[in-house]
Amino acid sequence: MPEIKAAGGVLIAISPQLPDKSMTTAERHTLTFRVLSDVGNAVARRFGLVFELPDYLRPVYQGFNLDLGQYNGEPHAFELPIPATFIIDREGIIRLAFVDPDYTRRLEPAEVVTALKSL
Amino acid sequence: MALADELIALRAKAQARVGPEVFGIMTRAVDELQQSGIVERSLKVGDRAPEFSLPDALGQTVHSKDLLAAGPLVVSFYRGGW
Repeated sequence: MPEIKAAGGVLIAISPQLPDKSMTTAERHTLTFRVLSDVGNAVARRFGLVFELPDYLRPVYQGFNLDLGQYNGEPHAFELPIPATFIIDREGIIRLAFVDPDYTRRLEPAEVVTALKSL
Repeated sequence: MALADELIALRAKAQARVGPEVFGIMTRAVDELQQSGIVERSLKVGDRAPEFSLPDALGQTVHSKDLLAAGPLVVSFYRGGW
């Protein structure tokens, strides 16, 4: 994060979670980057990222005692964004787009910094 | 260790914790997503990003336009903290 800032970028994280559920009050006040609440996935939808958790996966989440309705609100409880990272330049154009349904693979922070420096 | 390595290690741990059947179900969901073509439908380099306004953790509305006036934005979408 400090490297991103040093490279001139501002980091924001967006999830469909209700703001209450995102973190404890203490955490809310100590964040170094903004966490935004996209309840209903309206913004994620415009980036082309939204999918619905397939039926066969829902019992798995329930088995984990994970009631997505509580986190995300109804009726969109089972809609999720594909994890993705975009770099948007000052003209509003996307300069980096990392979209990967495999949630165990993520963009290396170093790649973000390199991309920011090349803008 | 690099993020990718950490995630591979985490994934192996998760697999051990939930057992092969559940892990298989979750992997299947990922594969189906990849095959569904949704990645092709998502925004690409060169596309114009939509402007957006969303509340932050403190209830303040954040406008992408305002943030972009100050510099480039790194926007990360994730499923949630759970």
